[in-house]
Formats: sequence, structure tokens, C-alpha cells
Amino acid sequence: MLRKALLIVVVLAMMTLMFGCTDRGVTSVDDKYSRGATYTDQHTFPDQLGQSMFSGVALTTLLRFRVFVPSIYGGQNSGEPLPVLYLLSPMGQDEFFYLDHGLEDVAAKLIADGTIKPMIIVCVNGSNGYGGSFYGSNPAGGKYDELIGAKIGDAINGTLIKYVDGYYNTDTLRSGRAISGVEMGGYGAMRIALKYSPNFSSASAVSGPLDFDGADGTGGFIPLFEEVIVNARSAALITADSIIHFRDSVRIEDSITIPIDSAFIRDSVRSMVYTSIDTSYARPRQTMFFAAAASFSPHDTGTVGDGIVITDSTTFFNPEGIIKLHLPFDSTGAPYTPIWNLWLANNLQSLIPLYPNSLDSVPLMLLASPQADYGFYQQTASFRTTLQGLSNVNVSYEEYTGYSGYPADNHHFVYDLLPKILKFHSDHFEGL
Amino acid sequence: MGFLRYSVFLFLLLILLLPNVYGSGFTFDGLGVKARGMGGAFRAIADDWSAAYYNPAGYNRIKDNYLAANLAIFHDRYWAKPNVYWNDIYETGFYNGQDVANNHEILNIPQGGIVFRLPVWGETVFGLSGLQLFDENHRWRLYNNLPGYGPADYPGTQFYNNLDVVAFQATAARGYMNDKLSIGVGLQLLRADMTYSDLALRQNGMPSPLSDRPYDKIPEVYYNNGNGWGFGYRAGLLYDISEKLSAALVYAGKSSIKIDGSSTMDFYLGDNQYLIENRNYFPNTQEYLFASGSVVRITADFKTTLDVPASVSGGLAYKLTGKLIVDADFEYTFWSQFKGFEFDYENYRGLKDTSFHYANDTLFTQNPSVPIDWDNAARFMIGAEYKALSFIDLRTGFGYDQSPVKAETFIPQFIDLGNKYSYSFGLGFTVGFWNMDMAMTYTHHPDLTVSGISDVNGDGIMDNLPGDYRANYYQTVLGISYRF
Repeated sequence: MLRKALLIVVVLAMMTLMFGCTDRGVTSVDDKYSRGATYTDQHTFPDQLGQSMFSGVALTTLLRFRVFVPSIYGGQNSGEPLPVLYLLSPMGQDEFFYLDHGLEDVAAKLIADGTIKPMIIVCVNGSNGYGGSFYGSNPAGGKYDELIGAKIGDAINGTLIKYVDGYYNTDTLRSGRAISGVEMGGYGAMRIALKYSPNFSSASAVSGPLDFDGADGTGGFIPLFEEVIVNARSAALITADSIIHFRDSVRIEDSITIPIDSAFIRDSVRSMVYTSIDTSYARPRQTMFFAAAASFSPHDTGTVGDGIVITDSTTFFNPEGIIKLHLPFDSTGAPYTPIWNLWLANNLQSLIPLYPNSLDSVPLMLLASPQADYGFYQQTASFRTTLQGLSNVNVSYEEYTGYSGYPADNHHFVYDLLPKILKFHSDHFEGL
Repeated sequence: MGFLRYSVFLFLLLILLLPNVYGSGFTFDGLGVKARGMGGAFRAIADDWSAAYYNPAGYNRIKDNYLAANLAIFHDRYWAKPNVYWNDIYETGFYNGQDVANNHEILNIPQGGIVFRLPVWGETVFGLSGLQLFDENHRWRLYNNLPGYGPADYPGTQFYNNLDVVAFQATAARGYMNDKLSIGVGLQLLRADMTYSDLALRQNGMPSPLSDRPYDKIPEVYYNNGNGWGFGYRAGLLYDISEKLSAALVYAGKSSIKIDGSSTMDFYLGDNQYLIENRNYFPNTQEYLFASGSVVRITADFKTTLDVPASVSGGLAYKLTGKLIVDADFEYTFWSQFKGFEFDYENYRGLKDTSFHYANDTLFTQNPSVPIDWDNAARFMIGAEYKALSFIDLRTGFGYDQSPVKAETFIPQFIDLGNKYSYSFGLGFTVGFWNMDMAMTYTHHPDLTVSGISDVNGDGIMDNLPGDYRANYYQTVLGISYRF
């Protein structure tokens, strides 16, 4: 009896152990993908940048860009030609901006899992001496929109598209080319898509200066003008050295307001020789407006080519001795109409009538964060409204926010926006 | 008979009036092979060595000297499907949407005791026993870096809790009122051994772009290993209301076990060569450290306290026939006394250059402890034993076990998916002075969905782990005893 009892117990115990002994191992699956590669690239474009007033200060006629190619890319003369997405850098950033925010891995993963088509991505450095070209178009500020958007010349003497199509195995058709950008890059992308729509199959922008004066004509950049002046005033009380005044003033852009005689500020600003270019982007508002002024309201393009000279001296500014520009606001921070109108002429809303129906065949996507800096959310939303008023324009719009303690300002969420951008443009690439 | 009906009615009423109490937390319930075969409903019977746990007063019913050993074998198999997003949108690195199993282990827990009757204070029954009161052993790998964060490999053990609390208990029991009333007390020396690891996602306080996504969070995996001692007690009453009906009441006091040990903390910093290349982050700078893909290891000493909660329990046993006895028990555990592990760290080693203020003062030395906030909980058990043959006993039992866990502090290290149902059966063989027993239990866990990240203590570290969870749990207990 004891033997039987023991046998039963042992058998039951063994069954129990066997029932539970399967080793399930590690059941989670990691993402597997090949990263692809990126190439540092650059080229001189004398036709578009050779007359730039910045060429003698900080940059040459060189345009820098970084090119991502997927792992399947077979080289210039082999494999399937790939579509190309141009990503334009925002203010104060360069050709590394999107790579700094994970582009290489994001693109590689999405390509590997089939979410997007294999594509070449050209990350463009849109900086000039003030950290931003605004992708404008004049000889003094650089003809960036033409340089990036046009298809003229050849790979050596032409534009960026010509260069990229000449040296990479690209789909050279319109259906294989798109453009996008964040903030200032978003403005550039929309501006270029508008002016050179036959060259792009889609365009997108993220929280950019897409409507300079806002929906009612008093928004956009206008509230920021006074902030720059107010802080210049406060700093001007600190020391008698006007150069130091202004430089320090914008280091404390958000400091308290101390009224001072506006004429003093105007004279100080006008007379100084500004020797410190803000490459660290520590004075973003002031620097942004200097950059935009160099693009939209340069003083003396006559010395560099097209003979236009702004004779009004009220807001004239000559910070580098070489860079001569006119600010669009006076010493009170109010828009100064003669110069402000030059800016508004570059507003997308003003450009649209000049290129009628050009966006009809270019699907657009706008992404905007209510937490974006510098009122770019309102500008983007306003531009969306403008687009919705146009017949036949296909625009999608999406808002994004951050999470608790981590708002969607600055460039915090570029990493998360890249998949949306890549997917949007991939969906509009034909072929492959 | 009227008294019996009254008592049963009161007991059932008590059950019905306790709908707001919850379950078993991480109590190990594989104690005693006979008790397990009856689903844990044993407090009003309590006639073997495991009465040290179920009801120390039961020792008074053990007429012979008695030596027993048990082996509990159990499998807890869990699956987690993480659902962890910042703002419900942004990926965090958790294996969101993947059904991830915990590392499966078969746990073997030996325990036993000796009981002897001595002529002390008349006649008193003494016992020495080793009981495993708590046993947690969960190991998970639920996280990997987001694409672009860096190539660092994470350890397979990210969320891990191996906690053993063993009680070495001395028990004494004796009878009063011609043995109609038995009273027993057990004094416990508690030993806790703990290995605990966790992954904390720490907000990156460096400026942009070093802290832009996906570098907004810095994963920290910490690994604490320590042990400690404490004291506890249990006391019980057992009263024979009639020849057929017995009632039991048991109280176990709260115990605090001081644990100390050493800690290893690994910080996985972002790896972005573009930032280093383009931003001129030079070696030996704090910026370089945060962009170079370093895994910074900090070690420290830690102290913590494990609060073993108090509980009150009771039961009724009724002999339906000469061969059949049934027992119905309840247990109410004050899980609100359990606060998880609040670690205190000291003697940090491996800190970086003193000029790295953010890294040293904020990141590497911030306490990553997560709080536990549980409700008190109850469990109800009913079991029966039938003497089928003179040498064979058949047992069965059912248990309903309420969960103390709240979603706000749910973590996979202390996993409890909700109110559970357990089904048990057991066999006992008697051969001469020997008894051999076995019991098997299957426990049904409900599926659990934890929604939304919580930060209960506001320290910026999430205090739960949202996702979908499911489980299977079954155990076998084998026992042998000898009466002499």
C-alpha cells in the first residue's frame, strides 16, 4: 500500500512539474533595421549666393547639406532611382538639425518596416550670417528659394536640385520630389512649393512663420517687435557703451521694461557697428528679425547687383559694417510701414496671388503646436485658413502638444513629427 | 442546532458585509499541504504543523509528537502588453502592443516543523517551524531604447523582484475548559532577502538639443540587493462550540523588517554622434557625456523597511458526518500598511567630475523609489475533507481572493491582477505513523488593464506601468509527516 501511495504521489508531482516547465524565453521583439548612411555634402552656388552680403562675413557661396540614403541605395549608377525629400533647417540650425533629432534612425526604421518608401533625404542648411536666410530671394540676402526650388543649369553650375539629381541616383520627375521644413524651414518649404510647384509633388511645414501679420493684421511678428525694443531700452540704461548695450539687451530679452528716450535707442542702433553675430542663437527674436530683414528688406542691394536702394533711413541698421538692412519696426516697436510692407510682400498670403493655382496640384500638410514659440502656432493656423479659402488646394492639418512638464515648444518633438512628415511625402511619391 | 444555524448565518452575513475589502497582495499561500488541499480553509481545524501559520491554537489538538516537511512548487506565468505613452501619443521605449511574458521560473519552497507535547504548565504543546510568509519572484524585460536614442543594450532583468520573507516561529498552545478552548501564540524571527530592480525614466534636465526627443528621458536601471531581520507574532483561539462545530480567530501583528544592502544604478545616456560632431561637444564635458552613449554606473548603499502587514482571520469548521468535515474561513489583511520599498541611499560612488552639477546633483543622486498605495484586502475560503478509506483522505477547496492593488501604483514587481478564484484538491495517505499528502491549486486571475501614467508622489518618475496583463498560476504542495 505504501508503495502504491508513493507511486501515485510521484506521478502526480511529475505531471505537475512537466506541465509548468516550458521555457518561454524572451518574448519581446526589438526593432531591427539597417541605418543607411549619411553623406556630408556641399557645393558652391555663385549664381544664387555670390552677391550675398553675408558672403564676406560668415558664409561663402557655399551651401551645406547632409544627405541620407537608405541601406538599399546602390550608388549613383545602380539600383532603382529614389525619390528625394528636401528638409529645410529652421532658424539658427544647420544641415545636422534633423539628424540631431533622430532622422537617420526614424527614416531607416520606417523604410525597413514598409511604412514609407525608400527615399533620399537632403537636409539643407538654410543659415546665413544671422542664422537664417528665410529662404528669401534677393541678391543681398541670397536667392535661396531659387537655389533650392528651381531646376536650372546643370549639376555644377545649376541649383541644388540639379546638383542632387546629378550626383545621386534620384527620381528626377516631379512625382519623386518633395519639400518640408520646421519653423523658418516650413516657411521656406511653402514659399518654394508655391513658386516652384512644377518641381514638387508635395510640401509640408511645421509651426512656421506662415502669416507675418496674423489673421487680423495685428498678430504674427508684430507683438514680437515691441519685445525686442523694450529689452534694448532696458539694457541701454546699464552702460554707456552702445555696442555693449545692444548686445547685452538681447541677452536678456525677457527682462523688465525700463522706459528710455526712444531717440537714444534709435541713434544707438543706427550708429553702432555690430560685431557679434549671434551664432549661439541666444537672442532669438532680435536675431530672427535681423535675418528676415537681410532677406526681405536689405538696404543696398545696389552694391551687389540689382540696383535697389532703400533710401528711408528711419530704421536703417548696419550691424556688421557690411550687412545693411532696415528693420520693419520703429523705436516704439510699432510696425514701420515702408519697411513692413516689404516684409508683407514676402508673406505667403501675398505670394499666393502671384502664382495662381500653383498649389492646386501640390498636396500640403501643416503641423502646428499651440505651445510653439514666437506665435508660430497662430501664424500656421492663419495660413491654414487662407489655404482653406482657396479652391482645389488639398491641405491637411494636425495639431500636437507635449506632455506634462515637457511642452511642445522649441524643437522638443521634431523626432515625433518626422514620421508624420516622411509618411505624408512618401504617400505622394509615385513609383517604387 | 439552533446555535449552529445562528453561527453559520452570522458568518455568511459577515462575508456579505465585506464587499469593499480586497485581496491577497503577495502573500504566499502554499503553506501546509492539508490546508492547501482544502483551499486554505483550515483555521478551525488546524491539526497539523502548519497550524503555526493558520492558527497556533490548533497545536493543542495535536496529540502526538510530530515532525513534518512540505515542498511547495509553483508556477506563476504572467503576460504584459505595455501601453505606455507620454500624453497618450509619444512612444516611450516600452514594448507597447507586444505580449511579453515574464521570465518563467519554477519556485520550490521547502518548509516544515516539529511539534512536541511537554508537561509544562500542566501540558503544553510546543512547536518550531519554518514558514515562508511571502515569496515574490518576477522578472521582466519590457523596455528598449527608442530608435535613435543609442545602441546600448539593456539588461534582461529590468523589472525584478525576488523577495523572500521566512519566519522561524516558536509556537506554544494549551487548552482550557477541558480543551474546549485552545489558545496558541507564535513568536517569529523574520528574515527577508531582497533583490529588486526597476527601470525609471528620468526627465533629462540638460538644455536643448541634448534633451529634445528622444533624449527627453534618461533610463535608469537600478539593482538593489540586501537582507534584514525583524520580529513578528501570531496568536489564535480555537473553540469547540459543540462536538461538531468549532470556531477560530487568529491575529497576526504588523512587523517591520529593516533591510540594508548595496545598489547599482546604471544610467543610459543618449548616443548622438551628430550632436558631438556638429556642436563641438568635447570629451570631458558634461555635454559630451550626455551625447556619447555612455552607460554611467553609480553604486551606493541603501536602507529600506519592509512592512509586513497585520491580519485578522477566522473560521468555522463543522463535522457533517463522521467522515466529512467542512471549514469556511476569512482573512483580512491590512495591506494599507505596506508601502513598498522606499529606499534611502548613501555613500554614492562613481559620480562624475564635480563641475558636472546637473549630472551629479540631480540626475545620478535622485531617489528613484516608487510608492505603493494599496487597500486593505480580504479573502474567503471554504474547504472539505472526506475520509474515503481508512488510509485515504480526499480534500477539496475553493478560495476567493480580493486584490489590494490600485492602478495608480501598479508595477509588475508586485503583480496582482485583481480578485482571484482558486480551486484546490488534495490527497492524504496514512500508513502507520506516516502521512503523505499532496495538494494542487489552480488560481484564476482576471485580466487587468492599467490605463494612464501616474506620478503619485510628484517626483517626475512614473509610479505605475500601464498595459494589459493576464496570468496563470498553479501550485503543487507535497508533504510528509511522522508522528511519534
